[in-house]
Amino acid sequence: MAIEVPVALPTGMAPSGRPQAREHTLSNGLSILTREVRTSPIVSFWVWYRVGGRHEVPGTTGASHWVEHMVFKGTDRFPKGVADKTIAGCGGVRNGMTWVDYTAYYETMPSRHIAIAIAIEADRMTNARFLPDEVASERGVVISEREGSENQPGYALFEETSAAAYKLHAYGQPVVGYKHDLRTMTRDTLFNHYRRFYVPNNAIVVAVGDFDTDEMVSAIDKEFGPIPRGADPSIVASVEPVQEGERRVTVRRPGPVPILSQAYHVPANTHPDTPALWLLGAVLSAGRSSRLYTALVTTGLAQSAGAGSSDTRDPYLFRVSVTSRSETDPPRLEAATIAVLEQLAQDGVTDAELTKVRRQFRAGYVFGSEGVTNQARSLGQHEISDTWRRAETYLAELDQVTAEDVQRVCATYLVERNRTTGWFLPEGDSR
Amino acid sequence: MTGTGTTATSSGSRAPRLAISQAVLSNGIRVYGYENHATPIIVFRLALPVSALLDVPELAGLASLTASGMNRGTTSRTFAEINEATDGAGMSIGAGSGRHQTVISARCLEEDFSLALGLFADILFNPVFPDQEIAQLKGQLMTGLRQSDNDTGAVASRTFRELCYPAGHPYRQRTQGDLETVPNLTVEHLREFHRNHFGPSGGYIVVGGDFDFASIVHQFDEVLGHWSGPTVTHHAIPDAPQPDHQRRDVFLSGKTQSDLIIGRTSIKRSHPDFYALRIANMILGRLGMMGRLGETVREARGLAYGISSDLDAGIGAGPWSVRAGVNPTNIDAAIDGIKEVLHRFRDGGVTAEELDRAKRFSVGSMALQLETNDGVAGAIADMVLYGLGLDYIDRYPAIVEGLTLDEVNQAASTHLPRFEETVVAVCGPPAA
Repeated sequence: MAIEVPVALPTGMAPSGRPQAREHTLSNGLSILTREVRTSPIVSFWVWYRVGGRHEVPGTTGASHWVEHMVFKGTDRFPKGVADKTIAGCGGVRNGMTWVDYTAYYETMPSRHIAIAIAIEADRMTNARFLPDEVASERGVVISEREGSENQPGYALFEETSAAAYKLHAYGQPVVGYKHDLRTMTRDTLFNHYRRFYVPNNAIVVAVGDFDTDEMVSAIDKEFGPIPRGADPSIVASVEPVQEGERRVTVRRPGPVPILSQAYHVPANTHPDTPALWLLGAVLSAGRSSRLYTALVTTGLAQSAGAGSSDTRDPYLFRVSVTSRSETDPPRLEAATIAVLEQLAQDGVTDAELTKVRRQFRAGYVFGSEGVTNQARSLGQHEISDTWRRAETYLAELDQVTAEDVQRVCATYLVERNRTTGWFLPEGDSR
Repeated sequence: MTGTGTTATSSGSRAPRLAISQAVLSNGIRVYGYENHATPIIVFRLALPVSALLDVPELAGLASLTASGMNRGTTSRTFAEINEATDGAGMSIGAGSGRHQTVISARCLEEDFSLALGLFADILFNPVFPDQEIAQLKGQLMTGLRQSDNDTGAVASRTFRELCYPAGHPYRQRTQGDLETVPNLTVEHLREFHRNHFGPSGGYIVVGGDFDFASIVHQFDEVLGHWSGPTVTHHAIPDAPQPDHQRRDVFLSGKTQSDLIIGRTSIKRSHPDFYALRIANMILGRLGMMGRLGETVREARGLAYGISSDLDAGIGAGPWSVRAGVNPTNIDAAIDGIKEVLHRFRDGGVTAEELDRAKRFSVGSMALQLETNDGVAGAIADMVLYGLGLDYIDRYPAIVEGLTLDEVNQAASTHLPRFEETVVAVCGPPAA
C-alpha cells in the first residue's frame, strides 16, 4: 500500500509477437482487459478505480489513499487478515497503490489459485467494513506513511513545487494528504468516498497471464456481475488557468545538499504532443549520454538529474529534477540546467539522438514484457489516462515524431513563463 | 574450455522447472546458464571473489570505488564513448563491489549480445581510471555519503551495525568507505587494486535468456577465456561476539519520523537451522501484512506504516533485525509492542496453521521469483555462492515441507533474542 509515482517514461509496451489484449464490458459497466501470456504458470489480476488525488478537495486530501488502506481491513466474507493470509498461502503477493487519477489493487499468484483473488477483489468492491476502531488505528498508519515521506528533502520539495504550480486543480495537492486533513477526516467522509467511487461502472479489471480468456471473463462475470451499477461518479475537474510567469518557492530545512525542481505545465495524455514529450524526456535524461547527464553530472555540478512527463487525464507537469553536488553554487546549477533546455529549444535534437532514444524505448518495451505484473500494470495505467490500446501502439506513435516535433514541444512548454522553480536549500546555507 | 552439461530440475506441478547448464572456460571461469526463449533478452553477470574484505582501514571503500570506476574509461574507449554505446542499444552494464564479491552485470537485447560482451570485456580487462573521471566519481561518492548521513534509515542502519559488530569486523563498516577515507583513494590505488586482485580465479558467470548455451559458452570463451590474472586469497569472515544490550539514539534535525532497529548478530546461511529460522522470521515479521509484528504494531496499534523483520544470513553471521519507522513520541510504545510480540513468539512458538501457510507461500511463490531472467540469474548466483547445488530448486520444496513445528519453534527460541539480548538503534528528531 503506497503512494504511486509513475515513472516518467512509459514502460508497458506491445511489440509484434506479444499476445493481443482483449476488451470486454459487463452489463453493470465493469470494463475487463485480458491478455493471455502462457510463459509461466502465473496470473496478475488487477482492479483499477478511477479515483485518486484528482477527486479530492481541501479538507479531504488523502481520502482516496486512506480508503485504499481501509479496503485491506476486511469484509464479512473475508474478515480482517483472512485475504492476506489466503493469498500468501497460495504463494501469491498483493498490494494496492494510489495516485492522482487512480487507486489500484493487485494479486499476482500461481494461476491455479486465481479464482480466490477474483472473489476477494469483487467482495471488497462493495463490502469493506470501515469499522470505527479500524479507522482510528489506520489514522496513525497513514500519518506515519506521510511522516516517512516528510523525512526526505526531495519529497518536501515535490509537495511544495506541486502546490505552487497549481492554483486550482487538485493535482497540486499531495495524494497522501495534508497532515491536518489526516488528523481530522472522519470515518463517514472516508466511507462516503468509498461508496461513491467503488462501483463497477467506475472500475477496470485487468488480467494478464496463464489462463483461457473465455474462462477468465466468465469467472470475473460470476463474481463481479451481480454487483449493481452505481451512480455515475464522474466529477468536473477544475481547469487550471494559464500560467503567465515564473513562480518560485524555497524549502529551507537541515539537509545534505541543494535540490532543484522545475515543473512545466504540459497537456493531458490525450493531446497529440504527448509522444514528443516522451521523447523529449528521454533525450534530456535517459542514460549517461543524455543532455542533462553530460551537462550537469559529468561536469561535476550535479549528483543526478532527471526529466519527464507523467501520463495523466488532465494537464499535468513535465518535471526537471536535479540534485546538486555539495560544493556546487545553486544559481550556477540552475543557470546550467536552463541552458540545456534553451539550447535544445534553439538548436533541436540530432537524428542520432532520436534514433538512440527510440532504441531505448524499444529495449525498455522488451524488458518490460518479462513479467505479467508489468504488463497488467501498463494496460491499466494507459486505460486510466486514455486507452489501453496505447500500451500496444506507443512505439509506433514514437516513430511518427520528428526531430522538429521534439524541438517544438521543448520551445513551447519548457519556457520561463510556464515554469515553477523550487529549491530545497539546506538550512544555514546562505547561498 | 571443458564440455557443457545440463542439470534438469523440476518439482512436480508446484514449482517451475529450471534446467541449468554448466561449462568451464579455458581459464577456469565457470559458466551457469538458463535458456529462456520467451523474450529476446540476455542477462549475464560475472562474480569475482574481490570485495571490501580486501580493504585496509585507512583505504576503506577501495574495492567499491575500483568496481564503480571500471567503466569510466578503458585503453580504447572514453567514458562518454562507453555511455554512447550502451545507451544507443538500450542496454545496461555495471559493476559493483559488496561485502563478499564484485559483480559485473549486463542486460541487453539478444541481438546486441556481441556488442554487450565486447564492452563488458573491455571494462573488465582494460580500465584506465582516468584522473578527471575518478575525481568526479569521488565527488559523487562523497555527496552520496553526505546524503546517507542525513537519512534516518541509513544512519540507523549504520548505528545498528556499529552496535552489533566490533571494530575491525568486515560487517561493521560501509563498503563504500567514509568521508574520512574516500579522499585518501587515488587513481594509483585503483589501478594497483585492479592489477593485483582482478583475475579469473574463483570467478563464475551466470547467464539467462534467449540463447543456445553451447553457442554462448563458445562466445564467452573466445572473449574471456584467455584472461589471466592474480589469484585472490579468500578472507574468512570472523565470528563476532554477541554485543551487550544497549540503545543508542542519534538525532537529526529537520526530520519528522524516527527509524528504529532492534536486533543482533544471527546465523550464517550454512547453519543447519537456517531454513527453520527463515520460516520463523517470515511468520514473525514478513508474511501477509508484515506478520505478527505488523498485526500488533501496525494494524492493532497504528504506530507504524512500515515494520518488518529481516534475517540477513550470509557467508558470515549477518544480523537479524526488526525495523520500523515511527513518530518520535511513539518510540517507546513501538519498542514495547515489538518486545511483547517477540517474547510471545519465542515463548509460545508458531501454530501449525501459521507454519503450513508459510510453507505454502515459500514453495508457491517460487514461480513468481523465477518469472524473469534477472530473478533466475539471482537464484542461480545464490546457489553457487552458498554451495547449494544446481538441483537446489528441485530440492527446495522438500526442504521446506520437511520442517516440523518443533524444528521451527526450536530455531525461534534458540536464535531469536529476548529483547534484553538485543541492541537498539534509533535515528530521528528529538521527541517534542
